[in-house]
Amino acid sequence: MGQECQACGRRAFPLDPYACEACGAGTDRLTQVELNATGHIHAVATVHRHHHPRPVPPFTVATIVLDDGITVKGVLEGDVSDAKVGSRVQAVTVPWDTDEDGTEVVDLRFEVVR
Amino acid sequence: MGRNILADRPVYVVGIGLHRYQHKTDTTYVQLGLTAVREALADAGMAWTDVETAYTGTALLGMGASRIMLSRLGATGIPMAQVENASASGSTAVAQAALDVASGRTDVALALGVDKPRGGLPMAPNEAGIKNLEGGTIVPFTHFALLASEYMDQHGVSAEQVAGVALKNHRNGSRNPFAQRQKERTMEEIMADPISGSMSRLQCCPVGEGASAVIIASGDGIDRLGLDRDRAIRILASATRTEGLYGPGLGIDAALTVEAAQDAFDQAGVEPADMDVLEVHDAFSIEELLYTEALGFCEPGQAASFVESGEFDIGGRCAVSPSGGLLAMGHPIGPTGTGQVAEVARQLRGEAGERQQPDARTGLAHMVGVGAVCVVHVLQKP
Repeated sequence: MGQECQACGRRAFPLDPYACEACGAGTDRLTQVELNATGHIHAVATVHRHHHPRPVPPFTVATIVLDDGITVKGVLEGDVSDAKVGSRVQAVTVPWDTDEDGTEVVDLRFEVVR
Repeated sequence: MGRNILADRPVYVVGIGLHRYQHKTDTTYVQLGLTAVREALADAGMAWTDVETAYTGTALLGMGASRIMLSRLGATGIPMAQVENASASGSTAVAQAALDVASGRTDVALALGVDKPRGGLPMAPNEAGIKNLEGGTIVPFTHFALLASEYMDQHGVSAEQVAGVALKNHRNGSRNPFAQRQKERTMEEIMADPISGSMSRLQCCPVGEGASAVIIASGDGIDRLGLDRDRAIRILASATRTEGLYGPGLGIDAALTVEAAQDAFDQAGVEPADMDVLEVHDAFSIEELLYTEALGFCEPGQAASFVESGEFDIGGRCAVSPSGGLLAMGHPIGPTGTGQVAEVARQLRGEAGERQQPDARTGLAHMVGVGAVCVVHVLQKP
């Protein structure tokens, strides 16, 4: 989900808990809009060193331009051997953690469409 | 817009001093800072009692760093404050000191940068309650690895060409006694030990400890204290910009630099082609390519070939990061921006020894910081 500002029309991702960054309109003027979970790789890098326990390196991250025109960064999932600039990707969810009440938490990632 | 007070009342760098940048040691920040300030005072030929105000650029030391340190030169009671602007903290200390003097409030101001690593870099944006998709996976070296990927793809540049920046800056650093890394490296050494994408260990800056001090004075101050006018370097411009919302095309870091540079060049009444020396925020090798282009030294995609052909070498068209830059001199955070201004001033005085850019008259110092912020100073030998 992304957000659209009813005051100035700016679409943004991620959802902002405070205001529109373009015009300052409050959250009462921000509506959630569905974004297409597909796009293409704009830049890609394999991370060899990471300061957190997870994900375990090496893993591959990408700058992705969604078909809606919004740019996001995310971790690539699955086979990344042919991931390159221009590759089509789609969002996938992967199990990440379990909440205190037992609810499964998922992580949103992208996989190369073949 | 207000007046350009640096044009109304000229201000000058009159003293510079440094404590070498290095891996964390048991040396206290007080000792690091005092070493730099004492050297700057001696360099200027003035006494601590001549300094009328002080700004300490630091991002990591915590509250109240200035007085406990600087009172060891004499508790003169002058106004002091810490300045935090992420990686640009020292640059903003220079800006505050320069604007203080230009305003006429004081004739002599100190800008000091000092820091020590504390295990991790506390960053307020991570506490802002704004979630993003990537979580903690895109740390700075990966952010710039992605920009390197984009740059190489768009301009048909190789990973070795990007690494050429590190080759040059490690060579420059080997001639700088204040640099944390003072060893010339081969391309093979630089390409070894990948960190993220094409960014290898020696293409990422070391964050250690150190200090650098810049003393700034008005013309009145120089005359009253009998300082050497021939060694005074004028600050022509001080520009600070924060990140706006940019359309597709230039990345945030480059677009922000374009804006700050435009402001600085307008204030100074100079052009990129006038620059002889440039200290840029090369925390990662790709950044020097992005910023030299954003500063207007060449067209997008050309900087890699400029590095390759030696145009950015000491002795080339414009010496870029003659100090070794953040890659080799190091990036101890608070001192980095003040250290850049010290290096540019040293070059414009013609006192940089074996790393001297011949006939250097005009130079520029550029820092970017998390936030994002960008601070640019233009200096010139009168």
